[in-house]
Amino acid sequence: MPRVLVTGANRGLGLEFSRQYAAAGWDVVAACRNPHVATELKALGKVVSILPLDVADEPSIARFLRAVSDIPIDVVILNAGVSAPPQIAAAVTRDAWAPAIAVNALAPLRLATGLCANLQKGEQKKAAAISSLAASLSKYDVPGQYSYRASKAALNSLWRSLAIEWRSLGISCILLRPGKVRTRMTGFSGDLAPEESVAGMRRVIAGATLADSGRFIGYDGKEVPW
Amino acid sequence: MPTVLISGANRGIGLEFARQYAGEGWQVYATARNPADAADLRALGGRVSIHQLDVANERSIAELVRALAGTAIDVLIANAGISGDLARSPEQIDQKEIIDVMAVNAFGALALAAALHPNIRAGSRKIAIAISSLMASLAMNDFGTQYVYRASKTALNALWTTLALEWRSDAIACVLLRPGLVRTRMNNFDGDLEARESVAGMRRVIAGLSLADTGRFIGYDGKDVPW
Repeated sequence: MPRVLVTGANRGLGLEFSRQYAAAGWDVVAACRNPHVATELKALGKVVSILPLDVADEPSIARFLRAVSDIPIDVVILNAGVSAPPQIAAAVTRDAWAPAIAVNALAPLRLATGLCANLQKGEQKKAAAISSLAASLSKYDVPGQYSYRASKAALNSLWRSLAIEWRSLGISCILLRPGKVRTRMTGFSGDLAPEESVAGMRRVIAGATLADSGRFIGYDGKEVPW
Repeated sequence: MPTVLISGANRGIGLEFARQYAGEGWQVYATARNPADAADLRALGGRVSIHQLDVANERSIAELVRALAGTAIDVLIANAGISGDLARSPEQIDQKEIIDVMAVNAFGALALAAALHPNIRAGSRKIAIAISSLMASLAMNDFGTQYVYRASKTALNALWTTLALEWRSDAIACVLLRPGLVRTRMNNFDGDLEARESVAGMRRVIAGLSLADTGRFIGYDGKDVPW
């Protein structure tokens, strides 16, 4: 039975990933900040193990990695992320941008590198990070998204570098664009229901090979321009 | 007499920008974290006025703004940048490292520009330049390494293109420049280009910019850099 690890699994895309993989017969390791109130995750049943993880907190990441050490993991989905309200440039203070960088850019790298041995023990060897069209330097023209764009573009950069380094280990690192999905993080505005976006992203993950490592691909299978 | 403000001007690319612009009769506002250490900058003479600035420090930016209140700035060159610990392997990168480097290379450049918005609006050329890097380019990254430095320059690109959107209505062109691999202290004098050649090229690009160029990422050689 293949195993998937999903961060930010208590709601939104993370919950939907957990739901769909569980329904497909996978072992799911679902990480979230507050397992005791993750009722929808718990309702998915015993195939889903829920573990505490606050990706903004370095000791929490260390504890989490210790908790999962040694178990083979086929697919790691670094999904936990934060958004930020639109701002003018003058309002972008460290309090606004540092959490976005820590959660959206650094945490996926910290977790992936900490899970390297788990991925090597698994068969599929795939590390997927949930990025965003906002990370695209050429294709995004929504104003005021300073911290969010910078953090997702930084994620893309870090993931590209990791992909190059992990090629020799046979681990594929891909960046996924979910599309504009109706979740709490987007204020339930968007073109897509979580089911559709996640089904698409799961299809991309399933079809990804080492040749796709370092690519930025949408839920629709299409390449996203950098 | 046109005016230019250059951050991180005490050495390297910033110093060379100050030298070349002063040589052409521009009024240069040059900033450095430690003006007392900026002997080469002082040697450029009276047209270069030196100001203390640490772009990662909000109070430092606020003091610069006070010192320059009412001064029109035709061209801003957000050049100040740090390499961080280039040798760090990815599993060794922690929040402190990435935030410290982002605070200078990405968000420091943005904060400086935002703080000087009135000065740039009052200028006649209305150009805001950020010194980026080939390392910012995702398309060109086939080598990996230097994780945090690369990410900080990609983040800078994201911030500057967003700034270009915000400042379009003020007719301020926000452009990213790639210096090429220049021999300076920041990269241990290992590179293809002397600072003089790179900066001459970048000044040529700057001289030719209009609002139509806002949001572009251009090399010292005038060529667009792939994102």
